[in-house]
Amino acid sequence: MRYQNPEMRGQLAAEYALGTLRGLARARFEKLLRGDATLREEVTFWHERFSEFATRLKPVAPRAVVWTALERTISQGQMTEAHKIVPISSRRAAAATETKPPRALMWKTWAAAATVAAVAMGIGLQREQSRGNQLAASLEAAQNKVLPYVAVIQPAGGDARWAISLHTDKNIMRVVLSGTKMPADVKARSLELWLLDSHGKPHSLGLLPVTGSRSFDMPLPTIPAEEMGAALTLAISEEPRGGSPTGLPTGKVLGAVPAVRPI
Amino acid sequence: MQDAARLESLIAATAGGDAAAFRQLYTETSSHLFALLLRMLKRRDWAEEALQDCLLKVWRKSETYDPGKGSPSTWLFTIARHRALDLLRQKRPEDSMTVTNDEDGSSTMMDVVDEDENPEARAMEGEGMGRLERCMKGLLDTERKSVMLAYYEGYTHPELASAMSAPLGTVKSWVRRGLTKLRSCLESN
Repeated sequence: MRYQNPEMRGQLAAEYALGTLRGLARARFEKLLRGDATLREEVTFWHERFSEFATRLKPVAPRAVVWTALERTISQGQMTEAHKIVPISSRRAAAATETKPPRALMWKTWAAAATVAAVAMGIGLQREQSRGNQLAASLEAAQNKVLPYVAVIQPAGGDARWAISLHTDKNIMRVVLSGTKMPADVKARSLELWLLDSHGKPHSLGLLPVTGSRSFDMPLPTIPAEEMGAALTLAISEEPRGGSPTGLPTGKVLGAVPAVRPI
Repeated sequence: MQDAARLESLIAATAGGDAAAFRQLYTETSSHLFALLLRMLKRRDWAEEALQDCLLKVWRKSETYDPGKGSPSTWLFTIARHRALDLLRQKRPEDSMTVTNDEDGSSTMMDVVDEDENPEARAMEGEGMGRLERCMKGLLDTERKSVMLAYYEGYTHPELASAMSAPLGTVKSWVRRGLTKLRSCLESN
């Protein structure tokens, strides 16, 4: 490729920014970009101009589950980093090459995650000290374990059943599907799960899996403490593919059941 | 999107580890980024996945943003668009207009050029007209449509050829000539 030809360079930069430069040509161009400031400027020129296309689109609010999942992923990353045990010399080496300042754990949920991690580490240390203490700690942990809300939904019109457990302490929802006959045409429609709050307002929990029999873990939004009574109410609605475009149910409600905490 | 100075300050605070600033950045930009991702990926679940990946990258790479090398909104849109193109490459076979639905295993045809709701019409949704759009008017229809479809649909040259029922070589020259005209017009404006 004639990378020195100014016309060719300009053309490649434009096609790179537009996205039509693909595959090996794209990879080669990216390699070239790393060492060529003039070419980077040309690409930036096009990115700036093309972003005008993006700003012309009408904004569309994503569902709250996106933020919840993002927050969860980040907090898991924080915990993983916090748990890494490395020799002090390695830490110094890492600190010397680290260009990014350590993140402050500012979100409440992250702080809560860190607290859980600290408790877990505490339990780990006790194990080291005494097997008797380990047993006591395990018992205490079991007593303090937050039980999930569970429900089984089987809408009329099919044999598909979804066993759903809401782990509110971990912000995880586990869904196990059994049966194969769906209560709606799932090639054309999605099945969306909702949590109804105490005022009857639905909050999306995501799209239900419609194939497979394994368990699916999905992010669960934080449920306010005042909503967490003995039971929660779950409902399934039929929605356009990809989920409700409005954030509220728009199609037929296929069923609603209470989710309870086992005693 | 919000004004550049505000976005710059939110990105800078995010780089400093201020999670509240990151949350604010998400609140103020996610609907714009999501609109682009939804437009490119068509499916809400894919767009949500891409948005999450994109914001995760913003969180992790916020210190690499350099205001001297472009506006913050361009930086954010570029991250989002690259992620969408990556996802399209993974999920949409490049040599075919057919995509496989990963939930039910069935195949559906991509919608291509829709005369009632074409990308050009959508591009005019906003108020006023920017420099790019003024220059786009100087392109031939085929050149303009090729550029629009490549931007909004993430189409490759073969996909463009299929969508526009034209030989690959012809489509490549439409894109090339369109971009050359745009470059010349943008420089003189």
